[in-house]
Amino acid sequence: METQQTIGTIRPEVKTTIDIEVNSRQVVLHQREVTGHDIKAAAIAQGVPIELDFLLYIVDGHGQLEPVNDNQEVTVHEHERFRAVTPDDVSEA
Amino acid sequence: MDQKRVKKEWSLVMDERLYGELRAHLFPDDGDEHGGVIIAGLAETERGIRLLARQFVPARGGVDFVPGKRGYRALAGRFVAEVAGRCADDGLVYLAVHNHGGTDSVQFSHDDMASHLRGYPALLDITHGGPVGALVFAHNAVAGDIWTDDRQRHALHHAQILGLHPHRLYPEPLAVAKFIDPMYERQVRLFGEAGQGLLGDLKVGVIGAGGGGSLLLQMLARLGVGHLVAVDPDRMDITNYPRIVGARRRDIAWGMGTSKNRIIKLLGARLARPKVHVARRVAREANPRVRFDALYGNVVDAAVARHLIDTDFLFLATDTMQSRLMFNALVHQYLIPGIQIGAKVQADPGTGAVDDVFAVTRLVLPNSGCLLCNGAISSAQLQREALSEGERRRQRYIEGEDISEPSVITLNALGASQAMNDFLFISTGLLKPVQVEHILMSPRERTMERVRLQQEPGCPMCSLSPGSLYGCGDRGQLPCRQ
Amino acid sequence: MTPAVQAAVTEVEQSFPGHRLDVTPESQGGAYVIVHDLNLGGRYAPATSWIGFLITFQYPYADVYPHFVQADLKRIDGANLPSGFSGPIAWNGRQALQISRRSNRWTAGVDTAAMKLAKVLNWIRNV
Repeated sequence: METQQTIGTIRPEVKTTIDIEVNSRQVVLHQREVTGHDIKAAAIAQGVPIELDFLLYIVDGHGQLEPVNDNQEVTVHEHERFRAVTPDDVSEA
Repeated sequence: MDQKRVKKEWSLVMDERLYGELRAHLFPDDGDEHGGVIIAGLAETERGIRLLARQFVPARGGVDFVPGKRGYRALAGRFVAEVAGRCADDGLVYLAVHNHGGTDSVQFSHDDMASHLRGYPALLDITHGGPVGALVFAHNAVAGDIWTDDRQRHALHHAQILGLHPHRLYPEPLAVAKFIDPMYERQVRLFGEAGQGLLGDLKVGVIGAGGGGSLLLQMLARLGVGHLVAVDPDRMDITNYPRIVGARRRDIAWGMGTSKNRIIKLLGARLARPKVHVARRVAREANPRVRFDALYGNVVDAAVARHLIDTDFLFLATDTMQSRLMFNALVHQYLIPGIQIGAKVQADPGTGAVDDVFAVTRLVLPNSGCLLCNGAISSAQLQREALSEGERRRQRYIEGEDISEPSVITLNALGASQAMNDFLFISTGLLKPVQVEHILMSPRERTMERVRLQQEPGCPMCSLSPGSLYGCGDRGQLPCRQ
Repeated sequence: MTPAVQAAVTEVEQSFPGHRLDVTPESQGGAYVIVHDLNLGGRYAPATSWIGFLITFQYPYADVYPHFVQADLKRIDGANLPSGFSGPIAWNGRQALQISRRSNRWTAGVDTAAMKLAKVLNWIRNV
């Protein structure tokens, strides 16, 4: 009886891409489990005009904001919306 | 990049109630700094770009306005994110606000500008292209740094505060030297050269160039208002000739329109002059320097209405409910102070005997209770006016049928003259402390009645209820014919 | 159609699910709307009819009235149609009875074309 053996099978690599929005701009992530820092870094690398120390929020379906800290791991979903802003400083007059 | 936008003057318009809220929050006599956001609409016009202050969102001390990491204080990140999100959802403009000390001049500090550089590109993205910006107020001054989606920055030229006692704020005192025509010497004794200069800079719209409108336009021209816009879709005819100031027989084609000969009658109707052309001639005779836009068309058409969005004052002198709704919308959507005038002769439908005669002048100022709130716009008549003549005939409306109402120049003059004095004293700062009211004059009884105004909290035009037109400018939808 | 008229039509569609709608935009930005197969209650023959109306371009500030139903509507008890009905007249390319129910206090932003249709239908059923 012959036994078929599969030797050195090449499996196609499953590359994850998840499209999200940061400040209304499309950003592509390559993994679902990411930190707030990862999201901001990816956004910056893809041309979103923010900085790493900006505050990050996820925008829920009702427009409410939930903060996402730099070290906080979140599971991102397709078309999820994020908002990154910095406090607006004013000097002493 | 839109080169035209770069060169245009940017200004801010706000009603005095919002300005009062803003001042109370920024200057509570503690000598400290405070902040917030103005949510605004936008009007892009030939005369410049107007930011229309719709709502002030104060930043609560210690919660939304906190010690800054890079500056003395800061609008907190969550506050910025939330309010910017609201602006994005409604298609409106985000303007951060804070105050400095000082009185008649103000400017941003280096730290202020650095903060804008850091944060405003992100806000432009959040608000789908903005504009976004910042305003800094002193007691009697304002400066602005406005960012547009082409990453250009624009300085604010001035802020116009609307109301019964309007005034302007600039970044620093403006030295104004104007030539005042000697022909205004007598009226300059009333409101000064500054007042005359101010009138010369105004652009005023008048919807309706008939009996009431022609009086308004002539008086505006004689006062020295620099730029007039008149809108009317009608031509002269023999029946309005007695009421239109400065009209000549040639304007009504010497009465050919009443000929029993059909061809002469048609020719007469064709040759009769549009009312706005008569008004233009009369205005130019009064003031050769006046700039006069004669719009032979209907304000209900979007292309015509757009000519009025950058006026500084708007008058309504028409009979139709459609134009009344448009006027109300223009006042509140584009933050333009307005006055409506009218005259009515009520006659017994059976006997024709005159019942009541009155003239009305209605002040319609942004955020003071609109014509909708005060029952002056009939939803039934709006519907009727939208029907074709055939539909109206077939559906056999009993009331408001196309019967010409009695009309006479002296009644028109009553309303027009009250309106013009209201306009003059408001514009030149001479109005005493009064309420915004409607004035009803009954000349047969020689009485005058003041009608206090109400403002409905959910009004779709003058309130801040979600989706209302107030202060939306170009971001809103005028109730125009498509 | 203006955005407000479009929204009104959508609301009519959602408020009367399962009923075919004919929508004809008119040149000023309004729309003629006909909702088919509405149950008029037990007093009429036929028992169902289309009801049509014009939403004008200045809606939601303008009232929505009159309404129109098929021209051959009759009371099954043989009585005359009640006051409020008139016609038949020509409407939107067909003969129709006119129902004139003007709102006493139309409030823009609160009253809608869908609500008005529901009120008119209720009136027809109970008059």
